[in-house]
Amino acid sequence: MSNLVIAEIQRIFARRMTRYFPLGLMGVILLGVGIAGAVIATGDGDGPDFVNDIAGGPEATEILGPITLLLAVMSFVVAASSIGADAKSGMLEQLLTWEPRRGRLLAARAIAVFVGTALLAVIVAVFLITSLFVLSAATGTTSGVDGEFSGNVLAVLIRTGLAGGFFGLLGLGITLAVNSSIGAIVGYIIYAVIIDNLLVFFLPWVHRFLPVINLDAVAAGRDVERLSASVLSGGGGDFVFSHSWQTAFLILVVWGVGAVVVAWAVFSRRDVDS
Amino acid sequence: MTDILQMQGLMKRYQRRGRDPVMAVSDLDLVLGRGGTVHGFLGPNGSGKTTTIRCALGLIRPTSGSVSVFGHDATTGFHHVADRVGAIVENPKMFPNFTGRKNLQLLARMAGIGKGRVEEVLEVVDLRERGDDTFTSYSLGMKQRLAIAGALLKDPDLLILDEPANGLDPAGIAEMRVLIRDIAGQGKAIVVSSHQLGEIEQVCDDVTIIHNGHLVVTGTLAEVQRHAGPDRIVATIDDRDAAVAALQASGMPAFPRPTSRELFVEIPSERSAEVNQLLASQGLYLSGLRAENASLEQAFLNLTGAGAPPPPTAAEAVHPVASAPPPVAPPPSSPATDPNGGAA
Repeated sequence: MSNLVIAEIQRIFARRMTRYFPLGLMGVILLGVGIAGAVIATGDGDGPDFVNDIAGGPEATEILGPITLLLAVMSFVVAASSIGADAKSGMLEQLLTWEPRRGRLLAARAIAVFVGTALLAVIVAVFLITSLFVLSAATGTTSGVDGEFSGNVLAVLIRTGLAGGFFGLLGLGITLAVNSSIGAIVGYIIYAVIIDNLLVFFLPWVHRFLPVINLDAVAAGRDVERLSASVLSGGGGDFVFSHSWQTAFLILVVWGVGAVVVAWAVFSRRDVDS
Repeated sequence: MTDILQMQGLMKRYQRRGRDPVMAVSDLDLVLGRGGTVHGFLGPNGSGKTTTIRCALGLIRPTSGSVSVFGHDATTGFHHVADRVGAIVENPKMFPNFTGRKNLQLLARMAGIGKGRVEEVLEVVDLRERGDDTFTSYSLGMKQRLAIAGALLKDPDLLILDEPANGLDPAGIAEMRVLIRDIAGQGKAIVVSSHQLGEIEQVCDDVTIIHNGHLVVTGTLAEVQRHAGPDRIVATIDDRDAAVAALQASGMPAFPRPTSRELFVEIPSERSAEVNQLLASQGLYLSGLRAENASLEQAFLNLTGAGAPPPPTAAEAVHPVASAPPPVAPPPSSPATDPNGGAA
């Protein structure tokens, strides 16, 4: 089993998508930080206060900002495309002649995807935090960066890695279940960009259990909030506490593992005849 | 002794959304593979060869019937024998952007096989020099060879090659034949599926032909070739009719070929010298002599009643002198035979 897992991890990291997607994200981060630095250098204002302006305070709950969603997309896409590449190349057929126990192959693959996507999420997050730290140090201030703050940042990184890993499992599970990486990725993007934002208002009772909002809560280490009532009922109004980030983490686990279980149920009975 | 690959009542029906189901394989009873031999699993495109192979590898579930590999059910127990079976299904399948070596190393890693074995199999298929090129940069022949290297990594007892000659040029096909014979020479059982009957018969010891999902015939190459009609010798001579008469007078089944200087003698090619000697002794000198062996293609056409008519035989001779008609090809409904010659 360990050989299988190692082979799967090697395979994931040897893929172009696994290398270029994070590199692309890091390029965008670098570009954004560069532009910010240039604007600060040519303007009158001071540079950012790393702890308070960027990290959202000593708890560092805002340190990843909107990049969290991009990390989730990255995890999902890397996992989904990895499965899709197998189908496209016909390699799944080849792999099954080596390891015919599909449950075992899927388990190895799930472990590899989890480890791989978690690692990628951490790498990109570290790159973002480092870039912003350098920007703050060069143009603003990094005062308040102490042991406690660093510990909080480390916790954010760990939670982000875990959340990224479970999103990877979600990507793997959905792709295998629907047997289409393109379908899974497009479906996910439609959900994340459109449906998720509509459900916030129309079905807040459902929305709070969906992956994206819980991912954000886990990465930041903050509570999940929901609208007190659906706009359909003429309500809406205030956001109220729904559940803690720890519960959000459990919900993410259920999504990730649940997707893999569904995929196993489908995959174990499917004819593989690519 | 346990059969290497055995099918009993194998049937596979594909359900198609909004269309009638397709019966890919029907009621197939078959035994394939012997150590140190090459078994040709032949039939036209769409005849059910690949479906059968996929069933044998546990990739698809039979609708009914069973396939066993080394005595284990392929659907539920293929993992017991996976390390004894190397296979290529349809096209060579590898990760396109990885190098040949990297592809093999990943497969080897899955089974805990060392990198030394990767180099060995690259050597066997003569790809060691190109091992660091990406799979996409390979010619089709190289891709086929790399896929065979992948299948050989496990040092399998049974090697299943599905359409290994597909898309290869004549030189590539010749190379493939040599490679297949070399591997069989190591004592491995090889099952080669192909729709190119003529290309594959040159390497096969045993042959099975299927058509429309049904078994047509199975047996040794010689047994199956008998269904094509007799072997014969084609001689070229100026005084054709005199030569035919002389041969017939000595008891040989000789017939003139219409509108040519050629004549047929329906005897094995090993007896060519007798023909030459006999005619020369009567002052009739040949200007050409060649063997025309019964082909699998012809056997297939005869057995299925499909396609082109058989080659000219005595029955088509303009002036048949001999009274004995040539052996008649079996009708399309001719029963299949098992490797021991019995009805299957």
